[in-house]
Amino acid sequence: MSDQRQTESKMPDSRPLDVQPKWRHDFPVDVAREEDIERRDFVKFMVLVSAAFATGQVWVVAKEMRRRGAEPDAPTALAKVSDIAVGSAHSFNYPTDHDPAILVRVDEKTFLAYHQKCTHLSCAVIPQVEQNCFFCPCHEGRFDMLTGEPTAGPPRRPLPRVKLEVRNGTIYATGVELRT
Amino acid sequence: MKDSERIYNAEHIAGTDQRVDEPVVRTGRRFPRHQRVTITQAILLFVLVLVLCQLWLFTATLNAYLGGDNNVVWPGAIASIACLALNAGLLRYLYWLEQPAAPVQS
Repeated sequence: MSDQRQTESKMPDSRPLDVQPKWRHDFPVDVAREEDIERRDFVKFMVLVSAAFATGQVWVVAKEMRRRGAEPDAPTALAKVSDIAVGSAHSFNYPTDHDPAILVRVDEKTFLAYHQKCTHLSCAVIPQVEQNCFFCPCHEGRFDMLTGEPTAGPPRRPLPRVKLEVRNGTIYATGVELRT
Repeated sequence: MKDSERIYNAEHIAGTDQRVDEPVVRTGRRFPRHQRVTITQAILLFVLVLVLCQLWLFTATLNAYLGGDNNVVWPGAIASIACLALNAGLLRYLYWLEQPAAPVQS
């Protein structure tokens, strides 16, 4: 058996087993076979990772098809113009109850609304009207109040903008604009 | 070792230090070990590159999708599935390499 091992296996330094250190006698691993099996197992694991990525892509496709099949967002009354003072904010959910958003009155005639989830890790952003920005306290991200574009911190995508309309003194949300 | 386990196989001797008239151990593989190691390493490298491509593809697609850009969703999925098919094919080839070859007459 040991003769067979010597013939089949090559030690890393190519010397016979007899002159190898004691620990190699104690753990007589077939070096040649072990190397092949380890790499093959690693390739198998990488193929599993590959399958996970492909599944993720299919999941994105499924979400996209579901989004496409959904009905357009219905206009929703948010508040009366007179109820929101200049420089103040109003929280609401749009288009579903799971989409927190925030409405800000920047000046007498300008209303802006964005989704409140930070585009980094979905923490709630806080409006800071005097500094003209939205602030994310989790990682100190900042978004420009007028455009929703990220200006500081880890976020890379702008906040989704909620489209607004003012009719008869009432502010309506009419849709959501996703942006890259 | 029994004589029945020894064979004279020129294919196994090619690229090794052994002489033609020297008995070699029959490994029963399609390629000698040093060639199999090279092939395995090449496959491993290729699979790694493909998986990294898939990682980039997934993050880019997800970023675009969350930003409302739907144009890349289908091409991204098709490309990722193609990478998976290629990886699975390479893994299958790796197992095929390890299978015993047809018996060689000594």
